[in-house]
Amino acid sequence: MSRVRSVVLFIRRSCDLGTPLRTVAWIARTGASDVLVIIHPEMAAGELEVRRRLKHAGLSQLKTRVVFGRHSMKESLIRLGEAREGERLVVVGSKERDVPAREILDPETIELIECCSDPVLLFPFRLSEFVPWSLIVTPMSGEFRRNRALARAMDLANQLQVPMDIVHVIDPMQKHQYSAKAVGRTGDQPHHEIQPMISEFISAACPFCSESEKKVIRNFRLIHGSAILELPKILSDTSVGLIAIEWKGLFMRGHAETLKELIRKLRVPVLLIRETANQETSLRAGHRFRAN
Amino acid sequence: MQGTPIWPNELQRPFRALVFDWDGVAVSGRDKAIPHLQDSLSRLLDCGVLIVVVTGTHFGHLQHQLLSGLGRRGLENLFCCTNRGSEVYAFRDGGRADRVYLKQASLDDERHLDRTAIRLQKLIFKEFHLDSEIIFDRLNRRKVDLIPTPQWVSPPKGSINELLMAVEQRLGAHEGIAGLPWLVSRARDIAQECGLEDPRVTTDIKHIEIGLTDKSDSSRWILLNQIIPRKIEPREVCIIGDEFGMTGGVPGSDLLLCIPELVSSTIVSVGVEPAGTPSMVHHVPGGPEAFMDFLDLQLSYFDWGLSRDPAWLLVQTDFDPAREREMEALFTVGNGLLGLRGALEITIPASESDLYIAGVYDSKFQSRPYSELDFLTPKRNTSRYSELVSFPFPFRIRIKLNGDEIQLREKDSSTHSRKLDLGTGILEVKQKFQIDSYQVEIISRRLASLDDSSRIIHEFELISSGGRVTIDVECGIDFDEFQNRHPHLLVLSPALKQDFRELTFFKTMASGKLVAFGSRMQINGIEVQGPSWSSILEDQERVQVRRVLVVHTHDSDMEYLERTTRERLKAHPLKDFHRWIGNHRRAWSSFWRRSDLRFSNNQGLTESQRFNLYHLRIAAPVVSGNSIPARTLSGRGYEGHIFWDAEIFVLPFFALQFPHFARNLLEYRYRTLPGARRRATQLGFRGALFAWESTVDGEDETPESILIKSHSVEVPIFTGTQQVHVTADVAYGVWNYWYCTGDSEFMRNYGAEILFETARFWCSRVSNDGDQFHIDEVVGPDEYHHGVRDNAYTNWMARFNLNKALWARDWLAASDPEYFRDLCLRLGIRTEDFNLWDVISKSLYIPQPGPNGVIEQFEGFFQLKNVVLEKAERLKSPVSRLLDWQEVNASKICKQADVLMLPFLFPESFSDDVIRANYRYYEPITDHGSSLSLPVHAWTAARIGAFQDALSYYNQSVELDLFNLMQNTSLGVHAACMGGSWMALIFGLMGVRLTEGGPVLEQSVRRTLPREWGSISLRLLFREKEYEIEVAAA
Repeated sequence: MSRVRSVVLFIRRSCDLGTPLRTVAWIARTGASDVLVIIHPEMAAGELEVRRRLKHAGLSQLKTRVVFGRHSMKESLIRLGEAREGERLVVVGSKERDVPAREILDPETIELIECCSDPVLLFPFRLSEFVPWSLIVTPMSGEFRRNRALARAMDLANQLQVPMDIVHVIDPMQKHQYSAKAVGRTGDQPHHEIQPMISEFISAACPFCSESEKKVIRNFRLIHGSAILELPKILSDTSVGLIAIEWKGLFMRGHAETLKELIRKLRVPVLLIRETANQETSLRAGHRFRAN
Repeated sequence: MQGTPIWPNELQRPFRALVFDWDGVAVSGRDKAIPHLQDSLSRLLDCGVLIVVVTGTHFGHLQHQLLSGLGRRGLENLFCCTNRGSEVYAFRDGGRADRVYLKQASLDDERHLDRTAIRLQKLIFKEFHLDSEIIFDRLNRRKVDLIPTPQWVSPPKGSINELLMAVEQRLGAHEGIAGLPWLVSRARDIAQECGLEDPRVTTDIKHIEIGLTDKSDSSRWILLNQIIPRKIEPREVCIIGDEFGMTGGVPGSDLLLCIPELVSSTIVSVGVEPAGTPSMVHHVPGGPEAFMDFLDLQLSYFDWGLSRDPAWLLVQTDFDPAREREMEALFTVGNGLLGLRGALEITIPASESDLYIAGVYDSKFQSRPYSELDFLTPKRNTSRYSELVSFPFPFRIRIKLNGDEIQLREKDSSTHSRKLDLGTGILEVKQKFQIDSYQVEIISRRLASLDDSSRIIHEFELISSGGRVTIDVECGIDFDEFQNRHPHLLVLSPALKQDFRELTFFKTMASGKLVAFGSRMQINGIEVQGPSWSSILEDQERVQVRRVLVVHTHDSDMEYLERTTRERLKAHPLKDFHRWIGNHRRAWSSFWRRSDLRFSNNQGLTESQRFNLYHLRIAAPVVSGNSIPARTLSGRGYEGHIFWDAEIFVLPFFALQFPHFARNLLEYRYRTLPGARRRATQLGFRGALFAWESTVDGEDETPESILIKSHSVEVPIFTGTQQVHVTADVAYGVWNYWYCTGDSEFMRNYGAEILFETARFWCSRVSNDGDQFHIDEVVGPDEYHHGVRDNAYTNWMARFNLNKALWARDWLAASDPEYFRDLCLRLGIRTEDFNLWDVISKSLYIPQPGPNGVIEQFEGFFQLKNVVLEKAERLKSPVSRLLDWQEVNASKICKQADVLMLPFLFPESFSDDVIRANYRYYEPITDHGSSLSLPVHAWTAARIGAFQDALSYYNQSVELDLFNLMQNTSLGVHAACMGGSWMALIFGLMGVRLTEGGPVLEQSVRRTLPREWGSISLRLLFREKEYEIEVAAA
């Protein structure tokens, strides 16, 4: 299990400060001893206000460094160098206005999250105020493979002592529901198949999580319907504090449309975790190779 | 097949040179494929053993038979002495053969040889009035054939007695002249008279051979050119032949190998030796099979002897943690009692590195807090035996380098690979870790002993490089997260250490079973106490650790268990390590000698079949009263429950290969008969109703319903109460075993009682409608439909059950009337019962083919709603199929073969037209939600000549786990599909039919076998007689 040990919080004028600061303070109190607040240059005039808010959130009593950025968020992050897997969290806000889904993130934020291999905690506009969170939700595609979002969300859930739910939405309208690699597919009697397959599915998704770490998972919800429609319904549950989503790492037009739509609709922070290529196992039976 | 040979103590040691005759010792015929021999010789060569093949024949024969399949490594240690001492071949440069010695005959020598042979032929005619034939075209020798008749063209070595009698009869019928010895002596005289100074005259009974060289020249060349230069002592040489003793008054030709300089070598004969052997020869008869066994024994002294031949290996390279559980299932080692998943010694937290013990079950525990299903509904069965118990991995290794523990992390540069030798059941694991500037490599090997099922052995080598380092090592049982991962177990006395032995006791929570793990450990050859130690290693220093683990169980007596485990450990000194490996390897060789199945032109299918047969073997119950769980002892799938799979799909393989395992499967059912009687009574019936999901005591472990939380849906489970065909399936298994083996003792003591009690059940289960009987409210093999009437499969099997019970009555009454009377008395069966069975069997409604030939699966099936089944839905149907169970129940969609099971089990009862009609009707609406469906469809398609379908289904069934086609191999391999694919091949694609006279082939099948398969060869054991079967495409 990894623990978040450092947090990098980007503060910009357009973002609400209250909830992000309180969230960061909460994470910091659970072991993230290194908090770096990078204030955008355009906020220079507001330094006092930022420091006041930091103090109000309780961050000033923790090991917190405040710097004024002289570079873009992306450049600032690159200059910090790489952190160990799962040990750094980047926090940023999205635009403070209601815009179409495709414009939900400004170019600088997109640039940041596209380059960032660390989990990015994105605070959307019109955020509901739930800190501490009561529940973390992770939607999963149903493929039997590693899923960084689940692993990182589980780490965070364990660190913050927050339960989590996994949601698998099966869209009956989509042909790919018949993909052979889906947890929502089964053939034998339900008491034989469903429960063990869920267990296998989760262990494949986060093979480095122990059984005791997995105990934070409260529910595995199997939902039929469209993800765009069903996920917001689940997230309208007032107890959901965070949604953790694995994504492919490209936000440009035509990509991540569902994700953008979700971000626009959601009232909860989103933990974006970039998908990474999984190492493949090669299996050779006799003279034949099978790799997938 | 003969049993495993017993080797004298003198032979139970490693030899550095093996010199052996080819024909009759290494092979029984020159046209035989010898993959096992090639593999064993390759490994010995690779271990540096000098291998010398001696043969009278020319090099071409060896090249074709031996060398084509040898590996490339170690060939510098191979020498072929051919043409009866006249040539020696060595191998260099990637396997190229070089003739390194040739005895060149002069023209005079050739003339002398010709003259000698002709004079001998004339002498034979003159003295015996017999025709003989001279074979001139042999290097440096001539052969005179004493019996050139068609019957004796190429007599096998095993028929030497008959040959000798025939030759002596030819020679001895003439005026009482001593035949063969006299001729040999005369041939020598004639040769000298013809000008040969040192003639070598020998006989193999059929021929008298006059030459310039003999096998002693081979021995001498090897001695001077290899044995002495390699500093091999004569006592380190073993000479193996099959003709050392006198035959027909003449010394055996292999005695010539024993030249005086090698007098202290060890000499073995594996031949028939009708007149015995000289005193210095160890006689271990058995021919090539005994020789193979000896090679296995030798291999065990040199290394673990993993195969070099890829065709015997399952290899995993690279490492995807998401697939780790799948790999663990595929790489399981086992022996029928123990199943140890193929986990890495240093592994990831998600690993399911379980050890399973056949027959050890406990109450179901809600295993995960996030379980989708609420198992603990009030209706959930609370049996003490509802789940196979997972025991902790016994070979976990923890290593600290300079105080830092090596762990497998998400992003590190560690590498992990596995290699499973299917031929010997040995798993090799290699792991490499880079820690700062140090590199640590662990190479481990493990096996679950086939010759002592309570024993697992483990060895690992640890090599560190990068400099001097302090290392702390702990190896033993993995107690990490013990309660989460093994909730059934209570540790009674963790790691109690005494007398260099480590003992750990477990007790299952609800069933109260006591289990002991006892182990001994050795580090660099010195036995140590306890599982951990510290040391300072120099750069590149190696540490070798060996462990033996014995596992024992007892129902309740802790003292007894502790005492027996200690005694067993005491009897396991680690100096026997190689002997254990050797015995294990020999047991595997014995298995493969009968069970291997080869496609001459399709290596892929050969390898897939080997993988399946390997897993069937490691699941085979070694203890009477255990059966094979649906996912064997390789995973937690189906909670270790035993289904109809065992009798219908797995038993036929064992019945025709190793019947004692098939008998164990049935004795398991006999043991659960009291539970089956209770089950029948509970449901209001008589006789015995076997559990649909069975474990220890015959109670049914199927829940009545489950609650799916996220849908707030309670799904009823009908199989436990309605899938009653399992009872007739057990009866079918009893009959099938009897038919294949003729085991009267089993039928008398167990089988008849099962048949009687199951027949009684059917009598109470049927309902009558006028003169006809029906069976209501059942689930057939197609579990998508419940509560149906007159399921064709169920009714047919019930009738079969009743008929075989009546047969058993007649058989038992005739063969043992007293026992029959006692049994009827004990079971309370009266004459009226038998009469009722007869009436019902004749009046039970059996759905018949309609006008279009299609048999209705059950009453009303044809009226159900039509459904178009997408191709993509095959093998893995959407979960909605289970959740919308009511809608599915009303639709024409089948989970698996149901009607098609009937021709699969009773092929002689259906015409091809009927089978074709049913295949065409049911195949498109079957989604193969069960792996059992695939082999049945393969068989059926083959039977009707739908060959592309047959190949497709066969390929899917034979590769189901290797290719993880159902995406659930991580839960264990699919035993029934493995057995079913073997059945589909033998009885479907190869067209084997079992008749009273033994297995026969349907000739029409040859026309449909794909050419690219070449020929298929295998062995079947039918009523104690072994049949070699080979089918080639026309």
